[in-house]
Amino acid sequence: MNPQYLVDAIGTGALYSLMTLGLALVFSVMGLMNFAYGQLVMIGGFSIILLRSQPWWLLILGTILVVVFVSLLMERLAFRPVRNATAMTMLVTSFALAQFLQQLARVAFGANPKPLEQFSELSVQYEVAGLIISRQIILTLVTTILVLIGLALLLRKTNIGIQLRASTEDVGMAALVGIKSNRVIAAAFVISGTIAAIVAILFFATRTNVSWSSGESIVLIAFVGAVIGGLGSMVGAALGGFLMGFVYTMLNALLPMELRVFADAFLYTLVIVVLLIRPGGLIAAKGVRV
Amino acid sequence: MKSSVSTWSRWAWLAGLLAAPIIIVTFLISLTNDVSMIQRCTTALILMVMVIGLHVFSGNSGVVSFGSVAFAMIAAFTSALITIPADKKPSLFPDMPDFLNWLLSFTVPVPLGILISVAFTAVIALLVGVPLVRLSGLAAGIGTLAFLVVVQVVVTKWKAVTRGESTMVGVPKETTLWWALGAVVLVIAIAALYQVTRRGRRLIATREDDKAAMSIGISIPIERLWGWVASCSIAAFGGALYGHYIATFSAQTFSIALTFFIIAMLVIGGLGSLTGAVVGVIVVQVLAEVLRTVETQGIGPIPQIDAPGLTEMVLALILLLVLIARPAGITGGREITSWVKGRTSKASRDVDPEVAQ
Repeated sequence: MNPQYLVDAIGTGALYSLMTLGLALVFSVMGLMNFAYGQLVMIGGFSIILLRSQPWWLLILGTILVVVFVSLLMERLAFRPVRNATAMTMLVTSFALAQFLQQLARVAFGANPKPLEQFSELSVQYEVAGLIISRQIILTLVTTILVLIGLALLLRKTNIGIQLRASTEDVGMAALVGIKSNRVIAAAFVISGTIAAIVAILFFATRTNVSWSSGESIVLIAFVGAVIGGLGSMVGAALGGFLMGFVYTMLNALLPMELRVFADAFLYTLVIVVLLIRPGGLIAAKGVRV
Repeated sequence: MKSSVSTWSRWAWLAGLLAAPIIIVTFLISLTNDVSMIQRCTTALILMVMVIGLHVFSGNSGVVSFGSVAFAMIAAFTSALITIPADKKPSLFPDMPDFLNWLLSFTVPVPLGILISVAFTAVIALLVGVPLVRLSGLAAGIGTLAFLVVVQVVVTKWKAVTRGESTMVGVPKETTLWWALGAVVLVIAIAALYQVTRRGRRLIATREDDKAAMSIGISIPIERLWGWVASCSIAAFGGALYGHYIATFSAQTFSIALTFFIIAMLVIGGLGSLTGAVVGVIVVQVLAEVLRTVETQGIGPIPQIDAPGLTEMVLALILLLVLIARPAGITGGREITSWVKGRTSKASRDVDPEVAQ
């Protein structure tokens, strides 16, 4: 086996684990599988196009601000009213919202994909011990590790993080001891939006265009990654997302040519097998509603 | 004896009250002789079959399934493979693998084709159902979603049998408005029968309180499996009818988007009641058609608006508003019989909250 595949698989895995984290965080706090999460990444993509000519720090900051703003708006206008409804209603609400944002982008930016000027500085490649490693992969890995550390510190050391974790354990009890649910949930959407913006930057750095339908495949991966990793567990989500990216890349590299087109089918069959063996996910959180 | 009489009367009331308005409206639409109206009505009726199919499992068990479209797809392709005229088959499927070569040699009439494809799909539903019904909550959602993706990839990529992206063509186009109406009346009767009789009541009991249900000896996996196979068979029926209606289709026809559209109709109507399934389809379809008319020709004072995606955008916005205003759906999960007869249907979701706790 060519070890080069491992490098690519780890790069994809890291990106997918970031995607999954953003989705899983909101789920663990309010039990909502936010299908509109992928659209946040799509919106991030369009804001990158609009800010492409700006200095890099402004591009990053601007994209994060735009996506966080939309994320907060989502929470306030769409999800707060259905917060106490059944999980199915919340799921369908987020689906309708995703559909709305997607079609809005189609009306606003047109049905054809918008070209995105390549970030040539990211495609610089290094050769280490016979392996080709691009700056984009290094950036993805470093960012993923930084976000993971940052998230861990935020959840353990800050006041809002501790409130977040308390709400993850038991929303009702947390509210009883004086934690303001609205604030905590809003915080979760801010963090989730920030992660979505970072994912957008890393994801579109290697793409040549952004389309209104870009968000769909992303949310599917994050959704599945979060569930097989273990709902309500951040480590599980990161692991689940990583495995989705890693296994998918490896399947594409290792399957015999005539079966390679079926890589997705193999991946999702594996997903079903994992679910049957561990319905609560690889790392099941205690007391989570599965 | 008394209980069986009331069961039959409950069944007759529920099925009758739901089917009657649909039959009347369909007749009225057929009288207009308006081709596009009749097309829209036929599509809505076929979708209704699929939504009722989903209701039989998800509505009664409370377990979400993303898989029903996968079964519709399997049935549509199966029925196409056996009903396309035998003389056309060799040129359509030049690379058919040897073990399936026998498929090329014969043709069956469409009704028989639909029947065979539903039976075949039911067997597949049983096989995948045995492991899948053990899952609940989001794990069930992901498990069924994963199954849908697997079926989609296989149908898209197994070109020799499914023609892949070049789409299935030459499928006999035989589904008419009356076929679709007959199908809807039939599945309403079946779904209503299921949920007023013992089998369905047991599944509803597992939805309301799984522990209490188990304590009186109900096996959750077995009840779910019954509901699952019935549900997937009805979805397959809808899928086969749809295939013989549009006559040209590919795996993209049975997309994840269609899946969510079907789930959205069920939830907007009101998850947990057959009435909700019927109402959801009618409301969403009428809305979608009104918006589509505005986009293509304008209605009254509203001029025609030319912006691809606008219809879908406004539809999504309205669905969102309905969900926010009525999170439990338009019917709130209650059956039509509970309004007409002025009593709360036992199949409804509104259990006394204190008892439920």
